Amino acid sequence: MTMLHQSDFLTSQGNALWPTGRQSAVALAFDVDGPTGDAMLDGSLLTNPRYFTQGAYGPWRALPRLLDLLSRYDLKATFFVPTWVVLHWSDNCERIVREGHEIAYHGHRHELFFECSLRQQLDIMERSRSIFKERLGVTPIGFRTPSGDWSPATAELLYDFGVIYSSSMRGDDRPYFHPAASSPHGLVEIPGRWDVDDYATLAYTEEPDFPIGLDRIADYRIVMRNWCAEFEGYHRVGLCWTTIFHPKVCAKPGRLSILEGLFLAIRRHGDAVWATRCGDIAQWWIEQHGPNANLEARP
Amino acid sequence: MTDATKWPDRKRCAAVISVIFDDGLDALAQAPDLRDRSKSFSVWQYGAARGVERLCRTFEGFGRPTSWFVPANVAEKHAGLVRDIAAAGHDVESHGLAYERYDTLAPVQSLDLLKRSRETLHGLSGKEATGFRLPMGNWPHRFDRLLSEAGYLWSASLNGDDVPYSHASGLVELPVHMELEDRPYFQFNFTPAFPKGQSRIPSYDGVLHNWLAEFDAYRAFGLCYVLQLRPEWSGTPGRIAIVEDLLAHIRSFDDVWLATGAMVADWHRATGDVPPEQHPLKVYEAYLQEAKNLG
Repeated sequence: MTMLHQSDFLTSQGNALWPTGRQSAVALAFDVDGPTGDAMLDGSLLTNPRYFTQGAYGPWRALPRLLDLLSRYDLKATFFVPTWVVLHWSDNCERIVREGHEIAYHGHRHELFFECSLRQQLDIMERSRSIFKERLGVTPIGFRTPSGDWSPATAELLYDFGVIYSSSMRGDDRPYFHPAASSPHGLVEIPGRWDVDDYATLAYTEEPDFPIGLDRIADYRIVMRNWCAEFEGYHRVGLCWTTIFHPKVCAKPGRLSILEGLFLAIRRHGDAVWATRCGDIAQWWIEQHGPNANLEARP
Repeated sequence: MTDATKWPDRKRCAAVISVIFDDGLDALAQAPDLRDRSKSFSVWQYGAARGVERLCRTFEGFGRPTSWFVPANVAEKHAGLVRDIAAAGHDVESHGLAYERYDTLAPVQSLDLLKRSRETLHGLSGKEATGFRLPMGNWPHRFDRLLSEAGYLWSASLNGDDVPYSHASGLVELPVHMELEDRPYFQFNFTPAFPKGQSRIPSYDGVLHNWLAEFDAYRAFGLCYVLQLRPEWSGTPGRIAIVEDLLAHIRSFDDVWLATGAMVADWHRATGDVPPEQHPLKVYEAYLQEAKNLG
């Protein structure tokens, strides 16, 4: 499938990607999955309260502490939230919106979009939209696909539905456009990478085993250094860095120290880093590159 | 909420040091053929041979009682060790009778095993076992009622919080977290592979750092820190230093309530608060109801 990418040499030609004075962009993003996901979808969660409570810890305890920490560093983030979580933890989700963060689509029960028909995908989106509207009074513009994959037609479906951007892919280190039949550009993609998914270093659950190989929980200091190295690398080259963090994983009490180290590293660069929400970056990208998106497409 | 949590004597947070001593039953439950693999199984037998005693010596220096979860059959097999543990002032709590899966048993059977476990432990340690740690398998719906009926007052089996909470029956839950256990960090065996990915043994320094980072945060937020050690993983000459350093750090603060699980559960029961609607326990009930309504 053809994606519409920016030229690789933009920054080296002195043609900055970001607003004046900003060297790089950071879009901190968190997936507040709570207990939704595979075990809820296949029904096994019904008999596994241990796993349920482990997931529920996210929206119940981890999210409020994370919001406190973001506020202490005056950082705004994007939260991708399955609407089942919004229904059951409305108060804490309301805080996300009230404190100036962005809330965005992440399925209703963290469905595998890849396995859903287009009709089912649309049903999930419509249900989510009405829950966001009813419970939080907002209509999100962003989407992150739960559990990785979506099908080739999903980008267009989301675009027609009114979503402006996605943060689901791994295909670049700066935003790019998904193609669209009806317009010069489709969704803006703000890609992430596994390097900044906290599951890869910190998650550990048994029954069901997660991750499947049950690799060890890493030294928190190493995790912090890796994440900082990722951020610094993107900043040096002037790109757009986003994260795939889950409050139930990375915002456990002791792990907030990892996030704090990262937030300090970001803040150390002052205004040179445009630390903002995915939605702001998407809007900016459309303004700058949208009209010419088709011309900049590469095979 | 967390900030409103008040601990006795104006302490800032609570810390419970616990030990799970199952004499290899957790490994056998996962790989029954270990029974005939003498070399592999001896990895777990090390706990009773050396680990228990080593942990007890370290706790002696720590000067505070700890909570031990022991299947009653293991306690009978190692009656001398269990008497020593109890004589040193530690609590001996239940970890089932023979490490059974309660989600596969009828309630009446479970109740019988739970009662027998308490009676056996009482006979050996001379003290009432009031606490329970689920061995393996899932927590059956309304298992808290069975535990209460069998005479238990608290459990350290579920998650969902970092302060104690109460089940519908009044049974107190002291939530536990995998990052505060030793097994996910240290368990290793070549064949069969535990854990499955047979990943490298981590840096000891890193494990200590994580446990310290968690403790410092639990203290800062006023939570209940529950550490879970096992004699076969932490009671070794090389790793006991991690436990010693961690305990020394915890003891260096005079605003930490160092208590046993039973003490924390008693204290929580006295406050008698009911979990709010958005508590994971309540949301789980709502989830079950939701599934039932959908048919």
